[in-house]
Amino acid sequence: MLEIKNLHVSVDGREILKGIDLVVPTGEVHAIMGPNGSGKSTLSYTIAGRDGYEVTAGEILFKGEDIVGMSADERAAKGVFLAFQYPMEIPGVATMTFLKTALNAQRKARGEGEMSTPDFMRLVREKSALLKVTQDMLKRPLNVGFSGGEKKRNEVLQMALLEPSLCVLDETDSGLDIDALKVVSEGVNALRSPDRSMIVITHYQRLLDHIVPDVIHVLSKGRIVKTGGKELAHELEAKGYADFVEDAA
Amino acid sequence: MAAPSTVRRTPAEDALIERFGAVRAELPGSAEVAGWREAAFERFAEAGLPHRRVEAWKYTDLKRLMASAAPVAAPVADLSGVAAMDLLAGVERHRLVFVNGRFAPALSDAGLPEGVAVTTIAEALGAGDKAVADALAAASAPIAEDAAVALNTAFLSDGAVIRIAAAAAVATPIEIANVFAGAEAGAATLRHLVVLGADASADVIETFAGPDLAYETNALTALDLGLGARLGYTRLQAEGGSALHLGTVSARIAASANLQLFNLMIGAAVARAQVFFAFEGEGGNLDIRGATLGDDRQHADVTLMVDHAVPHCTSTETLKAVLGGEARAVFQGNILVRQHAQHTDARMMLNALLRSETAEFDAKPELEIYADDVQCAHGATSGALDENLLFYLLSRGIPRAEAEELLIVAFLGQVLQEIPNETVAAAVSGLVESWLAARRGTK
Ligand SMILES: Nc1ncnc2c1ncn2[C@@H]1O[C@H](COP(=O)(O)OP(=O)(O)O)[C@@H](O)[C@H]1O
Ligand SMILES: [Mg+2]
Repeated sequence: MLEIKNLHVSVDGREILKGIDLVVPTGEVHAIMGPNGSGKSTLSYTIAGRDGYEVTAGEILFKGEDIVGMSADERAAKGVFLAFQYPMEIPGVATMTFLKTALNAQRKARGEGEMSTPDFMRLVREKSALLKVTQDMLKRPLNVGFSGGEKKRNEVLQMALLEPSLCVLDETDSGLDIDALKVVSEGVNALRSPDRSMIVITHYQRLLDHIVPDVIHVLSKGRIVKTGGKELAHELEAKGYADFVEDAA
Repeated sequence: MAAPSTVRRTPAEDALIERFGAVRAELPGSAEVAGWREAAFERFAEAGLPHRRVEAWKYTDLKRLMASAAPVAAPVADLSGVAAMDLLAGVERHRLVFVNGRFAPALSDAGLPEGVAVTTIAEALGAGDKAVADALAAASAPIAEDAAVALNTAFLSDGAVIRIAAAAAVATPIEIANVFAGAEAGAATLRHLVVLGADASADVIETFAGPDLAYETNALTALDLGLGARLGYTRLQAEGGSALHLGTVSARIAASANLQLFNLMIGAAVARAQVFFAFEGEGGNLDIRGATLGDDRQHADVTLMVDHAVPHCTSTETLKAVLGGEARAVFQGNILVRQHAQHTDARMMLNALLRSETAEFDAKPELEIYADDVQCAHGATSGALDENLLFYLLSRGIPRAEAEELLIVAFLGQVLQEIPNETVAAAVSGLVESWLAARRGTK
């Protein structure tokens, strides 16, 4: 599904990612853990195609195709999805309008017809129930005045509606209490499928008790310094990042 | 004719002098009307077109922007093309259509809503109607010094006088459509009067549309609201892309009256909409909102003069501009709070969204406050679309052009959503969206 080779990324002329190699096979869930500032969000933005994240070397193969030169909307239409660490608030755009515009834009890019309003409403109702996203939230301007938990549930709702092949979740657990964490994790787990891969980025092991990964990578100072199974999370929890960071140094 | 001013006359000024000489004898009205037309033109000829050293016209230098002046527009025999220039197709309303400065009964709705009486100005002046002549004179008397007003007084050929009876609640909006048609550029000069009796309530929409010709529209609309009356006045300027539009709204409202004014500027090469507003009784409320969309080399000026002469009135002005290409938008807002106007609440906010490096936004919000117990505030901002928000939309698969349009419509939402009457509001949003879509891919 995703194959990242020797990826170097600079932001404002400063190198943040310094040679990442990462392979996420179809159907697998990989976690990326690392201390603050290690480059987790930079990696997720680079995969999603944000302007200003300059790939100075390496490639990102998605379903075998290099997507480095593609715009963010092209990547999205091909099946890349980023759940933001800090979802944007957009006053004046109703959440429902946004969801419909996004879904139809992707369908159009794939040469499919627009979804009718009744079909769309039915789909949204079905997907939002699982994530406890209320009708009232859907009517409000996108993320405006949403609590931290509501914003994250809204991110996962978008993921459920758009049905991407690759989901990158950037610290989806940050700012969530335990109940909200459960709702969000259930939503994510419901989307696990043999056809879909996920990269779950987190600072804490807690999330990985709920979304159990197949593989864990540790990111430090723009490099992957360790890769292992799910037990790595507990090791990290017990010892802290310091050991790994030093191992790499 | 007045002696030439010290400054050399421009070709447009020469053409205007020639135009007045050519048509003065044919313009409708009694000898008295002809007298005030002469006086107004004299005033104009004396001062010439306004230029950058005339404070109120500082950013809209007509001496420079008006290369020539067209002759008075000829009537058009074939009105078949006019229907296509309906900005509000599908909206239920009562239409009064003026083509090239003349009432077009064939295109207008017969029969009027209850409580509404309409006279046309050419007809009234032709019949020597003294009351209409006096009302026309009164509408421009306090603002006679303004050049666009002087030209309007000199050349006005027709317009609607709409009277809403006291206590009448008119549910269907009334549209005054000012259309330019034909293949020859010309100048149309209109004056409309809208008078609401005490406690009357109505919605009036004024539209401006025309082909891509260098024609000129000079329209002055006077709004007069009686005690406790409510008027929603929506002004949609979507002139042809080469037109010159000089629009004036002169409004006075009595105690406890409520005027909600929306002004859209999307057309014309050079446009100015100036609003002169006066509170004449306590408890009045004015809400002005506006959206200016500009591209290429469009120049659009919105100038507001709000006079708080009496206590306990509120006014809010919220104007937004979206500018691309080398477009230039001007927002001037002058709020005068006189010494006796205690407990005035006046707020003005001017915001611009710049889509190119070469677009220009000139904002001049001014508060002149002589009373001490008032709440007043003003502000102006300008900036580009937020790249962070754009990325969020792009990351969901929304292409850039569409994402930008979504954010622009959101930016304008605060003014578009408040347009009185839902179907009209939807039609105006449609105008804005198609304006944006038509310019897709040109950025
Ligand atoms: N827009 C930016 N401009 C400059 N430096 C940035 C920018 N975004 C992040 N950085 C820097 O890049 C490094 C990695 O940041 P980030 O990817 O956000 O880390 P993480 O998500 O792991 O906390 C940090 O040193 C941060 O200060
Ligand atoms: Mg981060």
